[in-house]
Amino acid sequence: MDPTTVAQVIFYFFAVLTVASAAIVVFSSSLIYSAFALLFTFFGVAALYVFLGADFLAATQLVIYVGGILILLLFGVMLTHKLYDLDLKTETFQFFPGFLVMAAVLLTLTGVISKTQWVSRGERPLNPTTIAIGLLFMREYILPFEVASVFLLVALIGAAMIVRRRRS
Amino acid sequence: MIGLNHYLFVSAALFSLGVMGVLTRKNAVNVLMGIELILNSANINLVAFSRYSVASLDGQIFAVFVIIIAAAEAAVALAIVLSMYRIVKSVNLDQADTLKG
Amino acid sequence: MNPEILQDLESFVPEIVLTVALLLVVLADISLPKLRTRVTFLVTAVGLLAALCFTVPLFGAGEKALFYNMVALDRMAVFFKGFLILASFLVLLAAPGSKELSSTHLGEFYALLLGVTLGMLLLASSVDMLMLYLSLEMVSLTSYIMVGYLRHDRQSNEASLKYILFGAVSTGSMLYGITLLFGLTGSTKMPAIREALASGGASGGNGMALLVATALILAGFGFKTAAVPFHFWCPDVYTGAPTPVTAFLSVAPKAAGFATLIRFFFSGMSDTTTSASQWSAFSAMNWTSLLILISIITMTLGNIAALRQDNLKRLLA
Repeated sequence: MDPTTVAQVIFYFFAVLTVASAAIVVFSSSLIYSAFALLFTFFGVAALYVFLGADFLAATQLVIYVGGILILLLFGVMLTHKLYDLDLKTETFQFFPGFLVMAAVLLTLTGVISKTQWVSRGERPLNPTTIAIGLLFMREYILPFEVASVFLLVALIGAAMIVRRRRS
Repeated sequence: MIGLNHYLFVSAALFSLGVMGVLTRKNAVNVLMGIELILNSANINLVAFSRYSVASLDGQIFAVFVIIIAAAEAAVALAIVLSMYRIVKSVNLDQADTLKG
Repeated sequence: MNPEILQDLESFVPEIVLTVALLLVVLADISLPKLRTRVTFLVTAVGLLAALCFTVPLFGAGEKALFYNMVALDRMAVFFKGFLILASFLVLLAAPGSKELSSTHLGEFYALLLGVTLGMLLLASSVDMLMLYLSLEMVSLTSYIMVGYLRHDRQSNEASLKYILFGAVSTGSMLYGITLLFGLTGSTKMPAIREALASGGASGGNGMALLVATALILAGFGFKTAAVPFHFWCPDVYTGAPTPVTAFLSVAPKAAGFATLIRFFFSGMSDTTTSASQWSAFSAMNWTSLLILISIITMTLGNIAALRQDNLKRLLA
């Protein structure tokens, strides 16, 4: 097989993996299944980043989403249920209205995407991006970078404050 | 050949699934998962545009910030969920009903 | 270090003062166990007043774009900055007297207040979609925490949980709208977005994409300014939150949200220099009347709903 076909097959594999596991996240009746399906979604998205030549971002996605946010969500699931409670059922409500909204959103977006002429300034070559991203953070994006650090500090204070137990 | 629209379609599917999850789930942690799907779909858009049409790293930088914000937001949201669980012993949103909007 | 950035810092003193005050509050809260309630209050008060003093002279400084066009310094931004700092200062004065709040530990409250003020200043002056999104999230996240400040109170917690879930969804869809706009125009800077749209970016099949993007972005702003149809969180949150927080939330973030909305639609979207023919497809959507319509509906519904509310705080919503 020529490389283009292989690339296509791999792309479709990861695209289907991402969307199918996202569907499990949304439709599964077990919280634990949802959480683990989310793992595959995040992995699939990271693989798509690799396809798009975003190496730094793919690593970030793995470290922060899979290693951080997902673990956090799993803790959330575990801490809000009794541990021996194995079937963590989760209920749904407004299923059909929700489904209709989803179908409408999907139709609108796909219609828009296929019709729209996006801006085209050529393709970015597939070079490693880490150095360039680091330089941009220190130059054009210095202000958001610093603001993000203050933002994280505030979030840290807030989260610690909310869960801290009452002192006697 | 795989092009821009392939990625945009994947992202649109993720976005609408996320909206569905947010609308139909009772469990607060599950709603959070839906929100993460929405943020991920936006990130795919950003990186895909960055690669195929804008030809700069602006989109990728934006995506890095989105990931940072998503992590902070998830942490705070889970802190609030846990705090709520301690009081109500449930994380289902229909239990949050002492305030009738 | 680029000398331009150092020059920009001169026009950025209020924000820097607030950040320093925030750090001092956190440090004082940890290191001075006995005095901390008083010291943190004083540091916050001095920080806010100093920021206000540094903001006033900026009013005559003329228009500038700072930090590689991330934030703008113009009369509107400075006016809103002064107003927002003043609002935070009034809340600060009310905080120690509040029964709900004084039973809890106030050090973190002051830190959060400084954080939300900083976020609002940035929000009111940002001209880059990234900066806008970041500062909007900063304001929102801090508001969620402030609403849930009474962590042993069921109502406060519920209000906070609903607020963060609605909030995260609306900012999430706003983000998706921003990405579509980014794909349409190739930039996150509002002036560049305007130019791209003016030079035919909104023609043909792209009008639909623009409409969808704008609707999604409007959802985020609508949440922040509590406009119809995103107003429903308001009564819940106002009832559940501690009273000074309610007072604060009902004024300050809305003002910041409106400031951004004005900037977004009049600096990012509208254009007076383009010829009418290019503009026709775009102005058909008629932002101004849409906004007026939304605000009229908001006010009317608000008043009608207020008649039926017995709770005073809900009435404020």
